[in-house]
Amino acid sequence: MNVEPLDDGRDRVLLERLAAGQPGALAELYDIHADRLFGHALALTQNRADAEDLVQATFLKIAALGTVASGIRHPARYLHQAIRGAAIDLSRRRATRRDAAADLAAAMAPSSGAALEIVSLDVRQALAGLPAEQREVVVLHLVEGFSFREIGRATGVATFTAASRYRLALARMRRALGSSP
Amino acid sequence: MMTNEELVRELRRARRRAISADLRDRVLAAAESVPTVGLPDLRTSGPARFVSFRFAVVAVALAAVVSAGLWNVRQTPPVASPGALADRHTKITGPPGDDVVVFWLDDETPVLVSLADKR
Repeated sequence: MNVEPLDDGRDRVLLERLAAGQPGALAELYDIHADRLFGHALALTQNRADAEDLVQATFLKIAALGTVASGIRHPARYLHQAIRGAAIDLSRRRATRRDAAADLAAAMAPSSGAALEIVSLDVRQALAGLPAEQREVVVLHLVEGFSFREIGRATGVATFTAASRYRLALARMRRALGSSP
Repeated sequence: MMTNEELVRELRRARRRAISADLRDRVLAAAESVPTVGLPDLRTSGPARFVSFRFAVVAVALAAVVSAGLWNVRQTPPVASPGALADRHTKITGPPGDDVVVFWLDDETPVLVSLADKR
């Protein structure tokens, strides 16, 4: 599936059509944004099933907005913020019922849940070892093609913070890969 | 030993794992039965909002006029004061040879002058 460029104007028209109850508008939104949202969710959860659940929950949330959907000014930003919020909720729900054995099992599990197809196993493991907010920035910037400004808006942080997280992530990965900073 | 550039290049080559092909159908099927939260339609309520805005403007203007009027009433001396009479003095006829003229220094300060004293 090809990834469409971001275009708030086009997306607002689709949301207005969705608000007016026109069938097909949600499908078009899905075709435009699902891949990126899935990539974002994978970066956060590192789990394919969880990422798909988050994508589904986000589009159902949009569908439930009804007429309110037409009031969204920056649809792409809204969608990525929704993915992020859903991922945080999922993480919190899991944290409340996680026990030590599950933690140990997760820590020892191979990188089967790696979000990306990366040739180098070391790089994949280094990426998987990043804190979620740093991994998120790396994937959104290098894989999804977001600028730091777009990442900042989608994740609710300043542009400088997004760039800083990216820099820290690369430094951390290089340390993990055994290279000198 | 991987350089920064090599690391970025490797990450740029990465591809996200493909999303399940059937997720689209599942999402669209589930969306059909999702109840909407149903807040007011912002588009159709546009005229109503404009009317409300005009009403608010008129209400604020009216309140300003009333406030200014009340302020003015408080600052204005009572019209019915004797001092507001045109010639600002009143002759009071008393017993013969004992008339009194009332001069008002201001609206509330009368000065009684007996004409008998002046004779």
